[in-house]
Amino acid sequence: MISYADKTFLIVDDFAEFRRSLRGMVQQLGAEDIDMAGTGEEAIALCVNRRYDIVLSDYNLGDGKDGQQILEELIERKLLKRGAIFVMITAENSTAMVMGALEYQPDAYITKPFNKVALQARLDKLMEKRLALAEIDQALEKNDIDKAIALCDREISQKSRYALACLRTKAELLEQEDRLAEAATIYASLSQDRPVPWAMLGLARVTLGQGEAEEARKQFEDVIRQLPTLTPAYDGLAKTWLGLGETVKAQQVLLEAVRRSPKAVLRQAELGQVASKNGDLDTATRAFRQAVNLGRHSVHKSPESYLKLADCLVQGIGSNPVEDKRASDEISKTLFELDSEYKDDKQISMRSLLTQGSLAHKQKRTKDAENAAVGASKLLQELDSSSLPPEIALDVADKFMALGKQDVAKAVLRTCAELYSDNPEVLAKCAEQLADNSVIKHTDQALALNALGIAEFEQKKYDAALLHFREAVKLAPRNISIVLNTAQTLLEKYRGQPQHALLEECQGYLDQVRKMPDTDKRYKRFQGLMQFTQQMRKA
Amino acid sequence: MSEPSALFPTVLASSVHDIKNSLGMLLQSLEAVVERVPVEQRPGFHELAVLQYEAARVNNSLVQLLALYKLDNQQLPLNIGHHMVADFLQEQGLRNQNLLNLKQIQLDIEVDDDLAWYFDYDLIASVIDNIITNSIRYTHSKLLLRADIEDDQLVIVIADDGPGYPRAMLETPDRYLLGINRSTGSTGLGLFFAGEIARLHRRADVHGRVQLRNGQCLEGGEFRLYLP
Repeated sequence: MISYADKTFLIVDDFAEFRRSLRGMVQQLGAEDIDMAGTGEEAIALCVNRRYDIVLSDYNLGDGKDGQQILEELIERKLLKRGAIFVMITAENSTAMVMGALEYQPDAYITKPFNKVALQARLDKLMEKRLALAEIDQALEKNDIDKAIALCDREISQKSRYALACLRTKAELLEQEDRLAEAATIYASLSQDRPVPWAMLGLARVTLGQGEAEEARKQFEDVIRQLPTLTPAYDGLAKTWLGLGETVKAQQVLLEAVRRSPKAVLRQAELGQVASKNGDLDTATRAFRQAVNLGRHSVHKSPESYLKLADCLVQGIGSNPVEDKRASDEISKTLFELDSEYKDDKQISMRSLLTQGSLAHKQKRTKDAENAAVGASKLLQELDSSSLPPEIALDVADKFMALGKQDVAKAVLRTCAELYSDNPEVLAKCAEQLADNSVIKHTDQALALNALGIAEFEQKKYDAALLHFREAVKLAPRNISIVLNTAQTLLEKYRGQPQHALLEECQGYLDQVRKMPDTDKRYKRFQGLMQFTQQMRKA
Repeated sequence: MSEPSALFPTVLASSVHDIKNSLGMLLQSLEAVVERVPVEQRPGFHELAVLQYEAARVNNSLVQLLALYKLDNQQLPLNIGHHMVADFLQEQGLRNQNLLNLKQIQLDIEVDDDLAWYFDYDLIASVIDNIITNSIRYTHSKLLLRADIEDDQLVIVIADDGPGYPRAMLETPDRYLLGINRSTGSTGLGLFFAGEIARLHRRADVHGRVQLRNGQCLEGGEFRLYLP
């Protein structure tokens, strides 16, 4: 017998009657510590203060967050302890939900109506499973992936009742560790005979990860043919088309996914991006509007969707007076909500002002446009333009340019070109907007030296590498990649011969890029190098 | 304004969905009422049994209607997972426990504890749940749930000691959608649904199927579900 007396429970349902009935059942199982919430917001608030052992949540909770959004938020915000059990209660067949949200799945779905004995049987099984796999949970908690995989292997070879669950965990861990070929073998063996959704999807995902876009496309299409309701497969296919440069096809696929499962915030935002790229303003506007509306209750709410929606609406202005009035009202409403939601974020405030400026400019309100531009450039100074990711920097520069602030725009573009000169696409756009090709020529040499340095570093010829990196960094002192490479080589050399001057030099380079956006893929590496340098300097 | 013909199924589907929610509440409350009746008084509480049985039937029909509507629109998802068959059958039995008790029917489950198989948990649960409810109506005193492997396929058997299935059904069980049989009230919907759901399950080129037999394990009707 499994005891529930020492377990903490959270029951979430919008019907008081059902909450009471469920509490009655759980009490009969021996539970004593039971909290209840009537809305998703209440549930999250409770989870901030307590880590529950078992959460029983209804899927449908009225107007606010639904059960799936609660689960997503609890996982994203790490409010669920490892080993906790989350059970989703649904009014009807839950398979549709499963297929729409493979990434965030509850431990179990249970369909209404159910009685005490059925609930108990289900909870007992879940507890047994948790107990049996506790060691794997612990290894994962300590981030000991090798041990977790070894423990999975043990279950698999013993053909335990959790063997298949372990096989899935193992495949996902292998993927996470970039051991793609091994993961592919597992997925392929499982999806050969039967359409096992996660295995089919895993196989296609890994194929794409291995760079075989054409093969991945076929696999994703095959998954969709066999399991047309598995919406994550559409996301994968869209991503594959994007990689192949087929943005129109990507849009078609995303539209189909959105038609089937319209509530996914991230997918709507992605559709908006792709449609913008395709110049399909109507679709982009609709998608960003959906992303904003659906995002309100979701942990995936993002200021980008607000800004992009407003930008799309500004672009659409000029068709007819009635439509224009409606669009301009929606822009005001959108930006007002954005400003109040993100009032402490200077980057967002600046971009909101720029969009307001663009609107004023389009409506020939010259004074308002000028005021917005001045306000935005003040904010830009405060936040430092090197903190802007490249695609945002390009957009911001574009808007300053249109508002007549050429100097500000050029400064933003120069900084962007310096930081991201190893990204040919960004660099080309900067050069184009600046109407100045010298930025490209200038960095070609630095990049050539950088490449030489990398080759030498890999052969552990640190002195030779350092020579080239120092030359490169002199030419491009704010290029993130070159700075990080130089810093890393200096620290490698410091390990061999601990001279303080090496650290000082390293710190100097790192300081040049210290404002880099934390969304950059290299940010973690930067942080690591910075921390190590500072520790050594103090020691 | 959409074409009436396109509008109607959608309205129907969303109404069914709504009715289903209300019915869920109704059934849940009914379970709670049953729980309050002292166990020794339950057997023979005829009205409660009727309430539970009829509500369960309506619920099953709605589940099937919704699923078939989605199947028709290519919106019925299939989520093949790997499940412990014993746990699964036990849960289906437990779901119907109150009703079984009220009607004093004995349910036995025969399945190897370690047997695991690939199937869609929710969909097969709807199939089994429906057949169990149906069997409760026709059986005398016993129900048997059994599962094992035959020719590399999972076979789930639901047998009773009632009068057995009508002859016309035995021949083409999953195409037995012949309109309402006035004497029994049966539409054959449950069997049609079972056949459709079984067919969705496949392994390589082999698809699932249903079969009906009479006079086998418990001398009554016997429903067999094959899942490759």
